[in-house]
Amino acid sequence: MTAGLYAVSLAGVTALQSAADTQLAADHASAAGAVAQLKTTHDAMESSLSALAGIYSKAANGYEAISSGIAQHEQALAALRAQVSAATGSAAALSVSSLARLPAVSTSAAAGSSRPVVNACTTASGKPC
Amino acid sequence: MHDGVGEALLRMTPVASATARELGGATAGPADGSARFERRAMGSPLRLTLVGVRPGRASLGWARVSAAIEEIEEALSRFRPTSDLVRLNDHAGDPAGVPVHPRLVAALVAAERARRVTGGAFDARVLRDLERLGYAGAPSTPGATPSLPAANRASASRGLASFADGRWLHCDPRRAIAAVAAPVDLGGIGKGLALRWAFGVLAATLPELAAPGSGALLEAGGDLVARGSAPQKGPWMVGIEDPLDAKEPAIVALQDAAICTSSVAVHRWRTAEGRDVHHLLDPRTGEPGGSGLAAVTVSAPDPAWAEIWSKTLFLEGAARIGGRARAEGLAAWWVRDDGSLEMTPAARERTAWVRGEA
Repeated sequence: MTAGLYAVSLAGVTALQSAADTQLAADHASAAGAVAQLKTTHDAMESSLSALAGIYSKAANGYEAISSGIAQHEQALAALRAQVSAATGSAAALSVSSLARLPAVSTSAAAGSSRPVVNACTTASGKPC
Repeated sequence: MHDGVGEALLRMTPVASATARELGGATAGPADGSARFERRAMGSPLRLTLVGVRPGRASLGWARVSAAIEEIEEALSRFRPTSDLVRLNDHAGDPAGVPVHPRLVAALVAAERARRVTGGAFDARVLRDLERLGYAGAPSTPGATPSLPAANRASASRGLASFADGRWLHCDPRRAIAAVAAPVDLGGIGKGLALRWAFGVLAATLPELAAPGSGALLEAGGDLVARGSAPQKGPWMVGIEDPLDAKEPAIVALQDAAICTSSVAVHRWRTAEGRDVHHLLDPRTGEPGGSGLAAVTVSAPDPAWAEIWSKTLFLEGAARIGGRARAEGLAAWWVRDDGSLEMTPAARERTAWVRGEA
């Protein structure tokens, strides 16, 4: 009787443990899949970061290459700004009557067309024309 | 000072409608109804072309222009021993000054204004440096040897002398008395002023030049002033000199304006020390300027200022001429010593033809 009870109990315990082991195995398999997925995603991210690092490095090199050009361009802009300021000052200094005396330009350039008849020429002093 | 009309009438050589001048293969001939006159003055040919003016009136206009030029030359020339300028230079350094022709007083005042406006790039006192380098100037007649009146040969010292008050010019325009601290050479500005004044005389003599279809072109040694219509109806067409080539690199449409050229095509020589120099000196250094340039042409409303700016721009040299010309708003063309032609935007508007773009 006691032995039979023990056997039944053992069988029950065994059954219960087996079920638990099966559940544990199923849970482990699920976790392993998730870890594998996580690893794949991480690898992809690492690859992307590597590619981005390469692009950034190229951009940095490119910027370094044009930085001197940018500096020169900025100097040219500063010089141009100075010239524009000077021209603006000169224009402001002109009186209205001076402006009114400026000759009208009645002929625009037709450069490249056939050579026109020449009436005279402007040369160095004393040079035959 | 002079009633030069009669003398000039005897000297002038009218060639009205007599010959067609060949200019680079294109002909502006007498069949166009224009009247042409020519004589020699200021060491160069003096020419007048009139359009739409009756022959008798044209001859009167030429006589007045010729007389005016004669009178101006007698006042401003440093190659005439009897001129007012030679007499003034003989008294250089004397602050009391001497009586001179009013035209000379006006020219000296204009030269001082040009010195101020150009920041010293134009200075009539450059004569001593010219002579130090051995320059005598243009002969007054073809084939003559250039020479200076003895009294005009200044010392070889370098420097732009001034009076004690720092000025180089003292003048009293009302009494026509002038004093200069150093001998002066009016050169280009003198020719420009002569054209300005002579053209004023012409316009006053021939009011019909203001009528549509009429026009006038007055030339003196490569400097020109134009008004109204050319014989071919439209602007006057003026070829720009390329000192390195017989063919003009560009043609300018000129109307109611003047045009002048500063070039080293003619006045170049070798000094006693063996240096190759030219006559366009920078007064600030006393040495020839214009590095990298062969010629500079400027068009302006007034011929005297066209002369002043063409020389001033030449002295800037190839490296700086573009910036200076644009900053001053000038219509300027320049030929580099490699033969290339450049121009400002204002010049482009007036350019009718460019050899390199044809």
